[in-house]
Amino acid sequence: MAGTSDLDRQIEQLRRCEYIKEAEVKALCAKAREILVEESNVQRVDAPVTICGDIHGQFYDLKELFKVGGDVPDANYLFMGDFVDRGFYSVETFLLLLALKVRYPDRITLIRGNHESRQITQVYGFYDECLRKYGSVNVWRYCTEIFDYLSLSSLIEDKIFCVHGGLSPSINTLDQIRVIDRKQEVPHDGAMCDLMWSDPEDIDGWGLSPRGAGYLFGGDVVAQFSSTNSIDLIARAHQLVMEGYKHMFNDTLVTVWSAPNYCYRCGNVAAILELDEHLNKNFKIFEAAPQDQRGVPAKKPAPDYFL
Amino acid sequence: MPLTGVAGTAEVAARGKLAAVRAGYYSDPYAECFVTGECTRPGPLINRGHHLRVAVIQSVVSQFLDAVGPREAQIISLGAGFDTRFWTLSADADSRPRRYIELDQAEVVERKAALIAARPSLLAALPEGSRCVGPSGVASRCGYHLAAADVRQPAELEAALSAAGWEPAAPTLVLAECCLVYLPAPASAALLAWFASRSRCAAFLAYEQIRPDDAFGRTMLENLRRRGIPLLGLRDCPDLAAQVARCEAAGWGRAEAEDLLQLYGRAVTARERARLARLERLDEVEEWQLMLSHYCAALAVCEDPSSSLLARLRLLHPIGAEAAADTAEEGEASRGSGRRAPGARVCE
Repeated sequence: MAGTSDLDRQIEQLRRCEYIKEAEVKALCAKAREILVEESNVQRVDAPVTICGDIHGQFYDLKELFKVGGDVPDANYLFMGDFVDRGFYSVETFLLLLALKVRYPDRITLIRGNHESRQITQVYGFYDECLRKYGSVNVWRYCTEIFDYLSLSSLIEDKIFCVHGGLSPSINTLDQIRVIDRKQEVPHDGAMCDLMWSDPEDIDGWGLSPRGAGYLFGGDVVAQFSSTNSIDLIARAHQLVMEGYKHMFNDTLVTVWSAPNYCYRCGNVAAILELDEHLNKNFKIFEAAPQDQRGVPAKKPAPDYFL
Repeated sequence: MPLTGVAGTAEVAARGKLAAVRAGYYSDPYAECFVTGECTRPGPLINRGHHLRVAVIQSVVSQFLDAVGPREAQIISLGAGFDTRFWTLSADADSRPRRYIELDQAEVVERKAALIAARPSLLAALPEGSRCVGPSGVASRCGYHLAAADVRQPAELEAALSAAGWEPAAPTLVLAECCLVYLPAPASAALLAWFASRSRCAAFLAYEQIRPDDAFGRTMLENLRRRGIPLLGLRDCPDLAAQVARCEAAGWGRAEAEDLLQLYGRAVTARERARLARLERLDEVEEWQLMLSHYCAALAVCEDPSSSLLARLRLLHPIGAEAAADTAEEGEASRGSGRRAPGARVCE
């Protein structure tokens, strides 16, 4: 049985962007499952905490994030999903976050994004990356099994509701989220799907999402949900914001985006949201790691354009 | 050996179009004839974008053929790369234009000619006995010509077109699909002015990047510069107004330009957009909008005052009629369900 020293060694290895052995991934996932299975679908989190949005396998930019926000366990983190896909280092990114979760379970919270899914990772890169790096899909299988155990949302000090995507027409109360059986692949529709796929939009009520899953929801929906559940703010990720974060609906909702120069193509800055013990907000903006520190693999595909 | 730099963009485009065909976006049985080596899966955004690019150009090509009639129509493709349009048009004898002339850099032309020579399905469109396929290009009596020319040099352009039998007085559509953006601005201006001064009845269609000055545009310029693909013309033609002004200043009588995001929203029919949504779940909505707003189509027309053959050519012509015919059901998208790529394989 691997002990803390093994885990610390793996964390050091992952921090250098070196992936760990397949057998170590299997053991790490088994330990992570023991922790995650105990978490609620609306996991309680204490302030102070730093809220982070999408990472998408941009490992060297995650290191920038930790430079700006402090390391685990010195700082307490909440990551709102989409750890994998799109970037070159989904394996290292997710395994580092998962190893930190196992090592410091009370100092880092991971909730599920729409990319933590068997189906989506086969389209957007994580599956191919696992196959390329390990020569088999076993690691992908271990990771996607653990995805099923990730919590669906968090509640900070009973006042700030955090979720990857947004709200669902099937959900009025947090208790309705608490009773979802989350240990499954992200469904194509329904409450669990909507929490990970929906987007806020300047409309009244609900609208069809251009993503083909989830819904668009308006300010009136947010006002109703917040009032029903006595919350002050909804924090979510899921949408690229060129400035790193964006308030909507009179500051009752905020989008936080933590993947700078998304897909090495978009030119955006990234943000994290620090909350102190009184829930005062402080956004920290950061840029992509300099190209020479990115250790971009020689055979990496260049960002696509129409040429 | 893969082509590099700007010449290499021909291979990137061919692979991207093949991926879109394989994902079921549109049908082009010839797409795989020009792709050697492996074809990666670039994902829904790039697939959908390549389809839109092909569809927008095809829309203008079809309008042009309808307006002047294929028997009169001449099409000149500048920086043609491995485009398959001549073969897709030739598949239907009624839509085959009178003359189809492709120009590109010598290394691209040599590669394309070799691929044509090796593919019976491509040679089949060129009448036996009257075709000449060699390292310097293709000449055929059926009107298809492939030749090397430096389009920055009007004398080379003139020589190549004249050798291909181009008749300046007959209706001509000039395509510049990701071509002018690689040229210095004075070269593009000279090229446009040259065509406007020679032609009696011509349309010009460009598809290329715009908006180099925001964060996405700056990143695009830098990423492509690192790949040896500098967009030399972009700073001097940075937006839709500049695209229009460039054509008008070169003597084209009427010009319009739209970014691809506008064309997707306004030209592509709702039914066609619904079909695309069913093909692949696109989780890159913000990026899709960013990418498409950095590409434009520009259409210009110049013809004798006595003629109005090309008066009705428009960028905002509806796109997607074909899709309406081959998808029966409407309504709620069946999410993420793939469809078999249409089009039989013709290359072995």
